[in-house]
Amino acid sequence: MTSDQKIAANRNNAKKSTGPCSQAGRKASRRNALRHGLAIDIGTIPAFHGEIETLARTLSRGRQEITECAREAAAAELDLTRIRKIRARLFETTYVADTATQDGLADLNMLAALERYERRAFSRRKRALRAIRQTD
Amino acid sequence: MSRSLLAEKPIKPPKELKKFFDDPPLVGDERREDYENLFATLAMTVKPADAIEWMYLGDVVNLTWEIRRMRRIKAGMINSSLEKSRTHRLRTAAYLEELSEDEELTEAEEEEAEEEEEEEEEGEAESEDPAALLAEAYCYSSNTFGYIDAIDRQTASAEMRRNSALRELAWHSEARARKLDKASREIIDGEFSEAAE
Repeated sequence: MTSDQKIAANRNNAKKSTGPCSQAGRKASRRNALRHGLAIDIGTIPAFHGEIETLARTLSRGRQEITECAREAAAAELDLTRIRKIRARLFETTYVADTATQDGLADLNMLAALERYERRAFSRRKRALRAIRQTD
Repeated sequence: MSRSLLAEKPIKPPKELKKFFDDPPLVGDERREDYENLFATLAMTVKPADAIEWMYLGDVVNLTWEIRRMRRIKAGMINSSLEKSRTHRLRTAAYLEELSEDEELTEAEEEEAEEEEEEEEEGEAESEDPAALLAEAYCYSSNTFGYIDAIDRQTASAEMRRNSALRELAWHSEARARKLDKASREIIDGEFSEAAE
């Protein structure tokens, strides 16, 4: 069992580790947990807002207002396109490029694990597109 | 896909959707022209009526492409393994021959060696059976098993996603989904039956 003295020492030491303090340090560490960015909701990335609106308008088929379902379907479609491109790029760097790693099998299994993001985006788009059809 | 399956003028997606299909997820030496050919062939078969149907067509094209890629990789792995096992076999045979040449044999031993050689030749003729060669290739490079298993799982997953896209298209338009299913199956299976011939 850990002694009280040790617990106190651990707590005291933990107070000293509060992460990077400088602006540059914070900027560098903010992306530490980012691996491939596939889990990020595309709707929260400003660069995609314009494309989402354009596609949503097409899906709303000339209606005055763009429906929420159309927006959701458009975002999911953009997400699907983005995920497919990222997976293809990862596949390329893992197997085809000069930088290909030795442990190909582990990389292949990692690529297979990324399919879940595609399935998730597909389900989101499916629900939204069905809702659009039902309101037609 | 070297031959063009198109006889008519290809149908193009609406302007708003064009950019989604402009940058296909190609890998290695895959040719954009082949991808576009596949896309145009399936678009001609289905003739999508609206943006939703174009989206599902895009899914099926991408997944058909992915399935073909996986199958090609698997075939490549088996062929490379077969080649390695053949080379190994030839090297072993050459080494054994060298060894036997170095030994001085008595008359009785020479006769015995000749008999053994005849038996070996018969054995070789038997092992020329393609299934036996494949089995030998598998045994020779056992780590291929793991790769083939992983490739098979990815192919199965892509097939499942392709079927989901077709089911959704069927929910919107059953006739188009049926046509698309048939055409994409023909393209996938056609390539590999041609290769087998």
